Amino acid sequence: MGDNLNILFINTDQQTWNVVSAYGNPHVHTPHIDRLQKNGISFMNSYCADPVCGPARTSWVSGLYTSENGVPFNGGRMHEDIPDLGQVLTRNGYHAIHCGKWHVEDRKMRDSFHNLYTGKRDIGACGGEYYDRVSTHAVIDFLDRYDQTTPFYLQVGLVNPHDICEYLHNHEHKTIPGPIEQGLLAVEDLPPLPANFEYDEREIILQKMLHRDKVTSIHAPILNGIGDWTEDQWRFLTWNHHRFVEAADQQIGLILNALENSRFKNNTLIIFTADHGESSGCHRSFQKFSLYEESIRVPFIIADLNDQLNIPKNVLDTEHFVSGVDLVPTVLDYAGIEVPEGVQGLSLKPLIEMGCRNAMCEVNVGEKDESKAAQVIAWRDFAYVESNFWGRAIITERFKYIMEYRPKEEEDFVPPGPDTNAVGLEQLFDLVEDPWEIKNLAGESDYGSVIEECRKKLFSFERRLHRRPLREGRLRDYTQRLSGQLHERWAAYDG
Amino acid sequence: MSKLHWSVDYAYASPLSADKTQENFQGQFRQILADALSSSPVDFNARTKSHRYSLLPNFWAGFKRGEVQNLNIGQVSIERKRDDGDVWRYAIEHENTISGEELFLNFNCDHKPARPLTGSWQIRTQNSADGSYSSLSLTGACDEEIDGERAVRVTTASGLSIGAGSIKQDEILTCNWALFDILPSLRENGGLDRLAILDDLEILKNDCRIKPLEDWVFESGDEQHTLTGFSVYGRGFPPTYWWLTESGEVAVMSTMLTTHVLNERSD
Repeated sequence: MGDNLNILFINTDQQTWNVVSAYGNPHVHTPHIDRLQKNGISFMNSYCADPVCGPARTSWVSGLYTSENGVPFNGGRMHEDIPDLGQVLTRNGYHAIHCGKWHVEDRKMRDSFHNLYTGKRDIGACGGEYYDRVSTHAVIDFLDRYDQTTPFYLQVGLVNPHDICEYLHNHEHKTIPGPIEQGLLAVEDLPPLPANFEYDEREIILQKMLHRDKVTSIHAPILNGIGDWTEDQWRFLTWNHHRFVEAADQQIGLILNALENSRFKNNTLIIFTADHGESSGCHRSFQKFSLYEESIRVPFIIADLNDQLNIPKNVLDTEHFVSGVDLVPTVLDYAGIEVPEGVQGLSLKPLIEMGCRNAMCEVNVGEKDESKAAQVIAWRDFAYVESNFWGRAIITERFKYIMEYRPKEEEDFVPPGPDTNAVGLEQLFDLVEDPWEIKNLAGESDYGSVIEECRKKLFSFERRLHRRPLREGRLRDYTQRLSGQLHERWAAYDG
Repeated sequence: MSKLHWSVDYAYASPLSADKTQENFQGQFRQILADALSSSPVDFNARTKSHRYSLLPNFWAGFKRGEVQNLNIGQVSIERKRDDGDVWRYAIEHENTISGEELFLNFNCDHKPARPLTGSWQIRTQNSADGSYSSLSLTGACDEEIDGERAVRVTTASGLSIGAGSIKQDEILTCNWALFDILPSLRENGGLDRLAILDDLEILKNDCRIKPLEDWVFESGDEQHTLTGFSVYGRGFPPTYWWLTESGEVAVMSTMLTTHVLNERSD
C-alpha cells in the first residue's frame, strides 16, 4: 500500500459511538455514516484518548496520550519537539491537507498542513452552523480540481454535532420552555431518558468537582441554568443532539457522493471517527469531560467506496480496543511511512486485513474457516483514557475501572502517575452485566481482586508513558487552581 | 422595555458583562427591527418582492473574540419576481462574515403556497477566508422519477455529479429561502406536517414540519407589533423560530447561532 493511496479522514465533534442508526439507534437517522459502516469495518470498542476537543485532537495528530503531548485540557500547549501527522506525511511525499476544525493546541496548522479552509477567523470550539457547509464546499472543490500525482491525505473536521454545546449555553441566562410547552413536539416524539439517567453517586472526587458542583463545575452556568429541567427537557437535549448529528451526517453524504463520482474513488481510504462523545443526560450529565462510556466511546470506521483496498465490508469488530492515538500509526502504515519513535498508538491495518480475510472466509465458504481465521494479532487487552489531568480509566473485556490521582502537595505540572501521586477514589463497573455503568462495584468486597488487577494493569501501562511537565503558560495557572480546589476537597474528605 | 422572546434573545456572557452584551444586542436588534416595522409593508400580492435581513449572533460563545460593539455578522437578501407563467424566480445573496463565504443562489418555485422547486437551480460561492478554497459553482436539478422517488443532484462546473438525496414522488420539495414566502401563506391555516427542504439548494432535509407557535408582542416606543410565531424543524434541521408581522412578512428568524432581522423591504 502507499503508492498513490489517498486517505480521507472525516471527523465529527461530540458524537458518542451509538448515535449512529446502523448500530441500532432508532432515534437518529445517519444514512451516510451507515454507508461507511456497510462499506467498511467498525471498531465498536473505540475510545478517545481524552474526552475533550483540544486534548483528543492533539492525541490524534501526535499519536500520544495527553499526559505526554502537553494538552490535558483545552488551552494546553503541545510540546514543540513532537512531530505531528501533517509534518510526517509532508516529509514523506504526501500532500497533507486540513479542512475545518483543527483545535490542536499551540500547533500552527499551516506549518504542518496545506490549509484548504478553516473559517474567516480560525474555527474555535464551535460554529457548525457557520462552518460545516463551507468545509464541504471546500472538499467538493478539492476533489473536483486536484490534479497532482502526489497522493493526498485530507482531514475534514466537521464541527457538528458540537453545536449542542450552544444549545446548552443558551440555557445559562434565560428560561426556555420545554418542547411540549413550545408546541413543537409530542411526548412520544422524544427519545426516552437514558437507562442511566439515575446513577450511582459514589463517583471520584474529580468528577464531583468538575461535573456536579454548581460553583466549581467546568460549565457551572449551564449546570445552574438547567437545574430545574423536567425529564422532557433532558429528553429534548438528546433530540436536539440527534438533529445536529444528522446535520453532520448530511455533510458527510455530500462528501462521499462527491468522492464516489470523482477520479479518486478507487484509491481513497476513508477513516471516520469523532473526537469524543456527548453525555445527553446519561449519568444526568451533559457534554463530555467524564470517563463514562457516553463521553469517551466513539465511532471508528475504516472504509472505502470500492473493492480494491482490501477493506472488509459490513464488519463490526467487537474484539479489539482502539484508541484515538491509533490514528497516526494507522494512517502512516497505509501510507507506507515509518512511524516516528515514541508514538503510543497501534496501526489498525493488520486488524483490518485480518478482518478482511475472516470476512472473505465467511463469504466464500459459508461458514468461518477456522484455520484461516484463527490468526491472532498481538493487541492491547484494554483501552486507556485520561481525563482532566488527574482522571484515568481502563476498559477491559468485562470491566471499566475509573480512578483519580490525588494532587501533589506541591504542583510541579508533571502529569500524575503511579510513582508520584497517591490514588484517590475509584469506580468499577461490570460492563457485561451493567453496560450503562449504573452500579459502582468499587466498594464491594467481592470485587477487591478485580480492582487490584485493574489498578495493576493501569500502573504498569502508565509506567511506560513519557509524561512531561506542562509548558509555561495559562494552563499552569488553571492546573494550579484546580489542584488547590482538589486539595480542599480532599481535606474535607479526609476529615 | 418589554422582554425579547427567548428564541431571539442573545444573552450569553462575553468578554464584556452579560448585561453589556445584552444591551448591545438588544439595542441593535430593537433598532433594526423597529425601523423595518415602521416602513411600508410589502403587498402580499406583489409580483416583485425584496427583503433584506441583517444577521446578528443568536448565540455563540466565541463570537468575535471581544469585538462586541457591532454585532453584525452578515446579511441576506431575498429577491423574487413572479413571471407570467406563475413561476417565482428567486435570487438570494447570503454573506456570513464568520465563515467567510458568500453564497449566491438562483432558483424557481411554482406559485403555490408551499413554493415547490421547479426546474434547475444554480449555486455560486465565494470564499474570503484564508485557504486554497476560493469558489464553487454548482447547478442542481431533480432527476426523473424512478420507482416513486426523485433523486436530487448537484453538479460542478466541470461535471462532477453529486447525489444530494431523494424524495418521494408525492413529497413537496422547496428551498429554505422560500420559507420566507411559505410561512405567510400558512398564517391562517396553521402548520404543515411534511415538507422536504433543500437547504441552500444542496442539503436535503427530509421530514420537515412547520408548527405554529405563540404570538409575541414587540414593543417599540409607543408602538406595539404582534408577531405570529412558527417553528420549522426536521431531519438534520434543529428548530428554527420565525416571527411574522401583521402584514405577513417574516420580521425575524432565528437558528441556533444566528438571528435574521428584517432591515429593508420593497416591492
